[in-house]
Amino acid sequence: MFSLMKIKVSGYRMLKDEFEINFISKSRVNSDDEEIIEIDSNLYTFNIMAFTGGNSSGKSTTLELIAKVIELMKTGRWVYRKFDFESDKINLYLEFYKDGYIYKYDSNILPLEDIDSFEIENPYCKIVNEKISKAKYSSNVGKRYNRELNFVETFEQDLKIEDTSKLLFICKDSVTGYNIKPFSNNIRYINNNFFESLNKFNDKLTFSIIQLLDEGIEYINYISRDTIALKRYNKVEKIVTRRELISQLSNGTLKGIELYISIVNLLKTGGAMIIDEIENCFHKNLVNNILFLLTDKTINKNNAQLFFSTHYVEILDVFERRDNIYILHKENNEINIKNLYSDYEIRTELSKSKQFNNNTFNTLLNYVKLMEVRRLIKNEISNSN
Amino acid sequence: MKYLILTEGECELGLINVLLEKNMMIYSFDDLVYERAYHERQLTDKIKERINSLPYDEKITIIRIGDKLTDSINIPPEYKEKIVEQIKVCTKPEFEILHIIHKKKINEFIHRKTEIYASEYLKSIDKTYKKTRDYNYNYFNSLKEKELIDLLQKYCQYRRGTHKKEEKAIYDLLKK
Repeated sequence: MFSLMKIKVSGYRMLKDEFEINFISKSRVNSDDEEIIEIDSNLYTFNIMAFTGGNSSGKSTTLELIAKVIELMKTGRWVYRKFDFESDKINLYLEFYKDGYIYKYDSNILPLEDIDSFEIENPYCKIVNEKISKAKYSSNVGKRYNRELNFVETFEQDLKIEDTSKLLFICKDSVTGYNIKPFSNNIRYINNNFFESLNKFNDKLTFSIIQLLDEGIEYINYISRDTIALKRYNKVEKIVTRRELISQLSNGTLKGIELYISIVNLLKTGGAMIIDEIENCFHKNLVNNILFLLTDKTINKNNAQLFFSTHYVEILDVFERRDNIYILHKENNEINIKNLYSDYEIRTELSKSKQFNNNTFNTLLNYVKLMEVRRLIKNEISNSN
Repeated sequence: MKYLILTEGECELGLINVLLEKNMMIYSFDDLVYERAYHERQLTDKIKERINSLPYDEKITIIRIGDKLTDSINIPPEYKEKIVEQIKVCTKPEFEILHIIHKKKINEFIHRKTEIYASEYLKSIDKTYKKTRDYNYNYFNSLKEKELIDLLQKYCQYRRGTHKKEEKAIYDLLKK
């Protein structure tokens, strides 16, 4: 069993110093809690976690941080991006669980100097001052592990390769996780993945997903790599190219098929999946049904996790818990993160969306600025008339 | 017609899941809203979202299973036409009686029932007992179908007289 438990970071983009994401449950867990994964006795993480907030509040940055950490654990590498560095280094602290032990990891990630981005496509950062300690988990310690366990520094093999973390030795075979880019903005990415998706599972499952999203399609069959038979009910079969097929299906259908098939893959393999703006192009009902798959223990048997961001707060109403919902804010040009359970006192009898829509969490547009824009638009229109 | 099975406690859900998986109930998974049963006392948002996934003209019968069933379910106006019936399935006096009957300790318990709750008595004769869905699922799943039917019949007979006329027993939901 492997599970990421905590990320704490300083110096990463606009995230405030000591920015912390805790993946461990904070509130009481019932044995039939559907949003919970038991890591070990009395130690729980979540199968769904949501990040919400206003526009430009740091949701994507937060998800990218999680993706980078998963990548670091899987490959030992941190891909250099100039704008990741807000200061001369990124301080990274992690806690994770693996096979009966809790690990703590500390390091500094350094920017590269004099990098010609045309020369190396994905240069890796230097990772220095790595410290790893671990403690055998003892049942019933639960979330008090930091106080109750005795962590001892471990000395993992040093590769003497500056751009490769020692985490690789501990985590590489355990971490499954991949990243889905935002569903917006990148049509080529979506198209490539759409065709990959079609080949992943058996025909019956693929077709039932296609028909769920577009009831008019009777079948889509591959004849050869770029020749596809498309048949709609009560229409004659058409032989089309990939490009033509894409143009015949709606955006929502394409992205929905890709999303569903990615989720099926995630449920089969376990691990983590990250989706920015999960509602993009989708009806709330479709998103909720995806969440129901993840939280159904008769289906999610491999402890798959979905970390997603959303503007669509109504989606959060199907969450039973609050500690797996984070709210992001930008204050003084720093991104701050708050937990809906531990950082707010809210009325639990009201639905979450009602409270978001009442601006309880200060996530709506700034009223004063909104009225200023309204006045200026009014003037602009009046002047042009 | 779809059936919405709501159990008051998680122990009941463990048993109901066993009965559904063994295909012993008069309802199959296909008959249930979203093909499963729920541990809920009210129509929460996640239940409503699942009801919303049904075809518009599909009707629903709610089956509530529990030992109290005192509070009524709040049905929002938009579901008033959709939800055509509510059936109460009573597990009075306590669900743990089922375990006590199975352990053939019911007569001993009857002698002591004025001084001790069934749950306390059960814990005193079986230290491994846990009031959880998974414990109850595993416990009842290990029994043969015939044994389960006999057990639920005895449980039903034991509790006759303690429940209201319109309330059913879990035994009444079995195919037999």
